[in-house]
Amino acid sequence: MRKKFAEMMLTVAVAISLLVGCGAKEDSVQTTSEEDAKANEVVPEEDAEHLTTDNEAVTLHIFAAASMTETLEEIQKMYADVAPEVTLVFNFDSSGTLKTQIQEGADCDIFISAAQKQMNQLDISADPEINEEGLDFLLEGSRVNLLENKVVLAVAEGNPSGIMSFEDLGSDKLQLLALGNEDVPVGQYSTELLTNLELLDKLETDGKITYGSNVKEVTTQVAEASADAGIIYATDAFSAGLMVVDEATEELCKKVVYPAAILKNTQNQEAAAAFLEYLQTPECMEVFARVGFSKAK
Amino acid sequence: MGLSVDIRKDLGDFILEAKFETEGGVTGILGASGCGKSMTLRCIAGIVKPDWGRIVLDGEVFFDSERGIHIRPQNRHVGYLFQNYALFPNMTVEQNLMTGLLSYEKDKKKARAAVEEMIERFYLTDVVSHRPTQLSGGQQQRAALARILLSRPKILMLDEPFSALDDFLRWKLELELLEVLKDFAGDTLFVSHSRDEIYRLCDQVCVMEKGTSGRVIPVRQLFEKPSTKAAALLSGCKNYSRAHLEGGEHVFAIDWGVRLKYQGTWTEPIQNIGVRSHYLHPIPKAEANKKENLIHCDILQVIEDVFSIVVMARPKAATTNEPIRIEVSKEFWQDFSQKEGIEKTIWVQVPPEHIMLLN
Amino acid sequence: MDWYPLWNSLRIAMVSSVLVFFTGIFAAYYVAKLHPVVKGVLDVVLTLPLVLPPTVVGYFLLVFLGPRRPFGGWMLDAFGIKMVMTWYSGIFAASVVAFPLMYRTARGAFESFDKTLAYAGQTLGLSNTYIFWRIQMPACRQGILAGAVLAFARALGEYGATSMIAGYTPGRTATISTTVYQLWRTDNDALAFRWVMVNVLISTIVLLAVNLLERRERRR
Repeated sequence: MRKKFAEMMLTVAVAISLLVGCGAKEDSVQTTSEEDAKANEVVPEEDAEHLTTDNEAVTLHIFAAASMTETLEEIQKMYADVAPEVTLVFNFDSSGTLKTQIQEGADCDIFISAAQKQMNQLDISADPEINEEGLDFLLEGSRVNLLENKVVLAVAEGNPSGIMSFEDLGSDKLQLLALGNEDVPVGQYSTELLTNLELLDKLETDGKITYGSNVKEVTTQVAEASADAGIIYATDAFSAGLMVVDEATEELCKKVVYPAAILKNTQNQEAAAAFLEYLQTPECMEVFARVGFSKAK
Repeated sequence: MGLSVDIRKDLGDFILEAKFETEGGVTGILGASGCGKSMTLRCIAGIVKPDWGRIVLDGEVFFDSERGIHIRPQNRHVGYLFQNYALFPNMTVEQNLMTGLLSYEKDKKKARAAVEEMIERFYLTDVVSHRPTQLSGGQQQRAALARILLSRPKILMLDEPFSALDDFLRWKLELELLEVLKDFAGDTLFVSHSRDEIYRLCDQVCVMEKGTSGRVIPVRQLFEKPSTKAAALLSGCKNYSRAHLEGGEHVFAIDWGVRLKYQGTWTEPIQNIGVRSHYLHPIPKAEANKKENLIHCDILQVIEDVFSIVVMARPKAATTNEPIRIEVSKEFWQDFSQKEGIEKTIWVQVPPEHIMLLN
Repeated sequence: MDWYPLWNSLRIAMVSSVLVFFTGIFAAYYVAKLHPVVKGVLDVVLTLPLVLPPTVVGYFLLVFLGPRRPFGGWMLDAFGIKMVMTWYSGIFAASVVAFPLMYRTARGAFESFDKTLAYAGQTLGLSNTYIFWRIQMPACRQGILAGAVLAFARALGEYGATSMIAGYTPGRTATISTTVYQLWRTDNDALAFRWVMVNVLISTIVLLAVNLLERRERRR
């Protein structure tokens, strides 16, 4: 629900910004005529340049994994004090959807994916087996590993099925396990984890797995005890208020890294770089840590 | 026996107050459209529940607000012919007729035979398997009547049965309907806004005005001696003047500004007098001083109608702008205007026996 | 190609269309008779599933039918019936989402029905049941049929609410729509497209059948 609500607010925000934008356009017409007037007064060149770069409002479009919704919205408020001229517009969705949107030409300055796969698919320097289409969307040298997330086993409040660990998933305690589908990053880690435990095939043939199309669906199904357990991110378990009974070790599945990069065709490279830099500051990391993220090593 | 209605219902725009009794025969309910005629029929049929009152047919109480009686329409056995005939569009003529006896005739063979008989009686043989939309207006009406008669109604209620038809068909169907009504044993209510239809088809009539019904009177009386201006209007009388009685069989017509002699005895107070257009006789100027009951008028307009000439004129002593209407035959007018020449004024005689005193 | 989703989708769509057919007509018939104010309020409530995002509808359904909630818990305790994450959970999702389509079209049809036909039936002594099924329903046939077809198509294509309360377990709760979505998300576009064609084919067959019936009916 919270995500839906956030979307609704975003729509409202976009609508308002459009309205304000119209108003601002008139304003900008006035300012340009003022600037013209100033230009006629023969202002020294450096001063004129100074005027335009410092005061120009910048809008950054940030496509981020849905699991970052709460934290990024908080950081947005903080950033308003740091760089008031920068307006941050977020598009939260599953990383696969975001990747498709970018690929189809969506207006985006920074992409933060919940897995390396989608980032690699847009990175020309990545393994061509992953970037099959040879897409070149990232600004060279801008890609960084921003955050780390943990894959956890979550159960409903009170843990009615008594599942205590990943190993328990092979027992009769489990009737239905909720996973994200393979396109949702958590889904890829989940299948990797279950394969390592040699449980995936058995659970699939027993019809004990239900695939959700987004993390929200998985968390709701677990919270309502419709499924006995779910494999999700620590951050999602935290925001859904789910009970975490086990954490995946590095032997069970590879590290969950959130990479971030600036898009090649950004119009606001400087502002984007500044914001990406800001995201890695201790202040921001504190915000991320609060919901279960840690700084990527 | 007969139908007795005494009901009241708030219809928002006006209050329906229908009170009348019939004793056999065809009773017309005459009124302008939207005066509550159809609503009265709906109350009798049980489709609409009155706020207050009592409806009794042949001793059977249909509705009694005091005793909390409201019989379902299904149990009232009322034959209601709707304005649009209400044939079921998804059924053939035969199937439509079958619904008429569905409620009581369980024997399929008998039912079929009865329907067969009606089909012949109402000349529907050629269209038995047609849908209502494929029928002419007349066939629709006959089918609807046949269906109603098959349901063995205790009373027939016909709601403007000719309003959906063109003039030519109307005549033919009126004759057919007259036959049906003659054969029907129970009471018939005939609702119409046409005084001509009422005159030709009904034995007695009840005039309805803005939701309020008048007394049931013989049809002839309505046309010869209407007692109110509303009844006179509905009977087709066009000329009215406010009036008061004076001694010695005289009345003073206020709007026309003349004193007129009338025939008969009258003691009740009156508000108006009325004279039908064709009872007003133009009189040659030369005879004007020899005759009584004359009105001297200015001619406003002479209108040629299909079979007659209508002269619109205003009495010289008139106190209102309302003209009077004089109707004469074309032959008379040709003769009259030749002899008299084209005049701006005209003398009109009002026969005392044709002055209607109205209250 | 595993045909389970086809079979599952068909039974869900059929059962929910039948459910919605009767409940929609029932609701339309009674709501049309109500006081205008009550009618307006009920109208909004009954149409809500049409305007809400299906995922939200699914969420409400999950909250209502989940084993931790009063109703879902009672069904599980008293009858051992699990209301969510089963194949028939899809019926609840499809029914709720398709209901407004049936209800609204049926109501429109009932409102344009010539009431004098019903009155005539009553004065002829026909029972109200007969009048409703044999006169009013046939007269409103076009609208009701349109509603039923819309409801069936919507039920067949239902995704959001179904995914929420039935999940996607291959061979158990998978429907054509959830299968298409999963296949497409996992980059199996070719197979997804085949399932889309199956869906289109079914809808086309249903529409053609209805049109054919209509035409034959008219010719009679």
